[in-house]
Amino acid sequence: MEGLDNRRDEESEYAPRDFADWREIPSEALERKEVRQRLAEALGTLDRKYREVFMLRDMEHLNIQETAEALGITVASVKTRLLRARLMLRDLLAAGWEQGWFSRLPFEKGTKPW
Amino acid sequence: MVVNCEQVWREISDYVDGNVDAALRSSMDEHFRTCTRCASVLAGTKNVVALYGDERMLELPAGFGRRLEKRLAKKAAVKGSGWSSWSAWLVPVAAMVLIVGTLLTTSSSRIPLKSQHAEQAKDIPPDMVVVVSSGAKLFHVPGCEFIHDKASERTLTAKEAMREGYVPCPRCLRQYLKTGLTHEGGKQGVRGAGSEADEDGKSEVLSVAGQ
Repeated sequence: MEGLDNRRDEESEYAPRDFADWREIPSEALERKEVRQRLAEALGTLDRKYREVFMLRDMEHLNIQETAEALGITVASVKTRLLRARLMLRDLLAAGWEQGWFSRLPFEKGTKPW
Repeated sequence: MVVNCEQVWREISDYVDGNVDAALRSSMDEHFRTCTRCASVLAGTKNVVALYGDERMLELPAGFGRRLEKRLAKKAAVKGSGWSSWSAWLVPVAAMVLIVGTLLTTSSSRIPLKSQHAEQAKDIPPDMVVVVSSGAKLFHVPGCEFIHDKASERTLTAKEAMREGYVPCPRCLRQYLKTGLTHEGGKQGVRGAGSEADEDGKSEVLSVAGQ
């Protein structure tokens, strides 16, 4: 059951919280357990409706239609929640970069990942 | 067609997935060239998709997978035989997130988890040629696109891979997991799909992750 409040919330405009200059984060970052934990924590702060769509789509690599059927929601809802989830995680991770989660990563000297 | 920032943010998820038509894509491409803010949002979104989509992120702390598994199992129970073939493996895949997560989070649970998985993967031919890579926990069909470090690939048999503690990739070995896992995963999920199924559980996740 999706209440009206939820629907309103999902359809409200999203604006990114910051515009930090992101660069590609190398996948080697995931070798560090701390990084994986931080990512898991960020995911854990999302409301379940966003987290579940994100996990099925971006982690289990189901397609949009499959995700919709698995959760019993519409394709439109999957797309909206996926967008919100990705952008919320982006915001959360951007804050993380600034707090130095990735400070010990072997980036080139003088180059920051953001 | 000219698009503004708000329109770009609304479409950025579909853009990353390649689900926007050619006209919109070219308008957005043009926008990204001139708008550093939206270029930053795009880069960050791509990072999110790439980082979380990596197989190493299946090593999540226990909690996510368990709740998702219960919810999916509850749906399976409601829908009954109407469940289509692809969704039958969702429960086991959610279970695998949990299993792999627990496997790597707590060393004490290693033995029961491994044996549990050995049972679940029983339909994989033991002499099937599979590949593993260092630092990963999954074994794959050769050529699977989800092998994360192809440079360190090693070829062995499924039996050897399982003996070394590797678990089947839920994507390329999906067909085996479906038959091997569905019954067990579904049964567990349905049995547990009671009071806990709707809890949010943020604190649990955070406490596990923070250990």
